[in-house]
Amino acid sequence: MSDKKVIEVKNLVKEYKELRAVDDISFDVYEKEIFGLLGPNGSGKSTTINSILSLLKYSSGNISIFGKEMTPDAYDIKRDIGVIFQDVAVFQELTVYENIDYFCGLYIRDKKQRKQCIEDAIELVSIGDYKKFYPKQLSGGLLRRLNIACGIAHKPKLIFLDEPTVAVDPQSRNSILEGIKKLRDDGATIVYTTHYMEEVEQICDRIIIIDKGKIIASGTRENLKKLAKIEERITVEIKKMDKEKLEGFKKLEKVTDVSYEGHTLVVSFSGGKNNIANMIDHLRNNNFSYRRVYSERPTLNDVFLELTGKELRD
Amino acid sequence: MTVFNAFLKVIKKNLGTIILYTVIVVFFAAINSRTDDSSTQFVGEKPDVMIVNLDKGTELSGNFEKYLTDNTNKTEISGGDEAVSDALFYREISCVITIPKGYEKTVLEGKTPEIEIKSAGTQNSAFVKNIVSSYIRTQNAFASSGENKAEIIKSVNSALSQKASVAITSKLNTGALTKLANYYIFSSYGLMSCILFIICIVLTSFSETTIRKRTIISSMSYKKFSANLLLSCFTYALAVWILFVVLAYFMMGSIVFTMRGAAFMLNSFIFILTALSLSFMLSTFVPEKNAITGIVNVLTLGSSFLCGVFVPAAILPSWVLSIAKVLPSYWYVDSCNKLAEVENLRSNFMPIVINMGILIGFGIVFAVLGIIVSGKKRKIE
Ligand SMILES: Nc1ncnc2c1ncn2[C@@H]1O[C@H](COP(=O)(O)OP(=O)(O)OP(=O)(O)O)[C@@H](O)[C@H]1O
Ligand SMILES: [Mg+2]
Repeated sequence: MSDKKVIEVKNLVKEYKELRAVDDISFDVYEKEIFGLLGPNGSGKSTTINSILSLLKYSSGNISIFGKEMTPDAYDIKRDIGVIFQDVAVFQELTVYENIDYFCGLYIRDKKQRKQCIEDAIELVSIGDYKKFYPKQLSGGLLRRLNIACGIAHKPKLIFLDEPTVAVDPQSRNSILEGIKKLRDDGATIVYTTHYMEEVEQICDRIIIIDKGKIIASGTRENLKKLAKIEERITVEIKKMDKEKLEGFKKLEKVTDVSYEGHTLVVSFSGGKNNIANMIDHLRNNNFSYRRVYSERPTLNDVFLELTGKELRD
Repeated sequence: MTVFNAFLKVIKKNLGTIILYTVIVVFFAAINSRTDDSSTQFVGEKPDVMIVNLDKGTELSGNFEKYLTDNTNKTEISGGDEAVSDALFYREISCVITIPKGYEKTVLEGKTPEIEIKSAGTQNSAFVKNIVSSYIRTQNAFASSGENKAEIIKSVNSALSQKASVAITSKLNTGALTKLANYYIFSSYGLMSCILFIICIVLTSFSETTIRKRTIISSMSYKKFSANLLLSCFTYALAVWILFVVLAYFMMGSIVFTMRGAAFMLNSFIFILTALSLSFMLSTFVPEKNAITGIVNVLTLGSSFLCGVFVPAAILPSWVLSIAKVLPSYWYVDSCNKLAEVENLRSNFMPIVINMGILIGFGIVFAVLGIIVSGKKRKIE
């Protein structure tokens, strides 16, 4: 990540008739970072991206990309942008290879150069075995990968990915996330939207969290995690539990919350160092028969919960 | 080239459909030329014709009727309109000629009477139409020079007896022309199917919201993209048209490239432009791709039936034909029929030009509707 700004968004507002889908959002994206746009369904992520790309007429605000004002006919800017939309956009009549060839051809006219680009894109999302397949014949995950290949084959410097992993199997998801990291390592700047916490935690350098069109938090993932009140969460599988015994856990040091459901006990701590040791002592002293014990650091979900009082995922 | 290449690939994927429609057309054209071959044997003989004289008792209509009776095989069909229409359909008779009421009066006023000829679309009927128009023209020439009834009859009869052989061996090769006309009429079904089907599929693909978004965000300007797409569609339609013209040449030979053949070609060229425009409009209306095959089939089959592509227009009930007038195919077919019948193309070209104008009008209306609807669709944001 450098300190060169690739995107500058200032006071972006997009209103649909009565709804303020994007409500005065400002942020910068720096060169060679993976910038995460995190928010629940309907929070305005896609609207923000479509406005940045001039695909939508936004109500007010300023947007510049590569230091130039972004407009619908800023073709010199568009040349260096790649977009992967939320919905898969491919031709049913064309094969995997032909689809990538077509979309890449909108940017690169030279045949030889294009061929190399297509091969690189196919390799990046590892769909080499499916070159001659038609979209109908691909699984959901492979289709998503093809969708990505179509968006990045022309080697853009700035890439937007709008929820590229929705409804995707874990294998494809990992392949996609690895691919994105590789693109960044090769020098691209990436704007990534999702409503999956884990993904943001896994790959994003900086993050903004939006809810109802407003930015409710921003920073690096470490910065953001500090916003969560809890520091550690310990989960234990316990066969039996009663109310009295549950209350007992609350007396442990720095415990903020205790819950028991479906043989699983979850205890949250606001800080402290020996939480796990204390926990195990407590379990032994009270003759609990327990199986697994594991500890987690707080997630962005906790941050979101803390900030909005609701879970990120429904 | 990118757009055109994608277009070609879509065509390749649907080549089967194109071949199917082409084979249908060739097949029917082949059948058509066979039936006509068998009827050629009868050309030397007189065609079976039913004559209805509504101006009975007048000398001029009497003479005309006699002339017709001499030159054809006069046949009576009893049993009313339906029986007549059946007789036409089964080709028991070639034509029904109706001499209108007030025929003599019209002639004496120096005007041209309207002779109604219902035909079964065979080459015999083209022959009948020729002798009728030849009689009426000759008669008209004497009538307008101020001769009285008796003089008219005498002059016409002597003029026509000299011309009798000329009429039959007139330069117009009616048999081949009828074949050509039938081919062009039938090929309209193939042309329309091939163009509507492929162009609709391509255009709906390209204008699907997500794909359109990808196109807009690319570094190719949308104007350039649209121009490319339009050009690709036109090139495809042109190729289909050339295919059908070449097929006509293989099946019917050099008549395809005579003056009259060229008029048929022009007519069908204008028809493909209208079909292109119609496909564009359809593509903005179709709810989803899967519906295209159904919609296109209903449209092409329906309009082909109504407009007299599969059965000769002349034997369709008049209410069907008046409905058919709102369809482009009607005007196309009408031009083909006229082109096969008129003896002197140059002096009778106007009605055909008007038909072509109507076809172009249809094309413009479809295009404008398409632009309005696609504009509305785009505004949803
Ligand atoms: N064309 C439109 N007309 C009216 N309202 C719209 C339109 N498009 C989106 N919205 C509304 O704007 C809000 C933001 O939508 P947007 O698609 O940007 O959310 P999102 O964060 O991308 O959600 P998701 O995770 O479901 O993709 C939603 O409440 C949505 O209903
Ligand atoms: Mg979205």
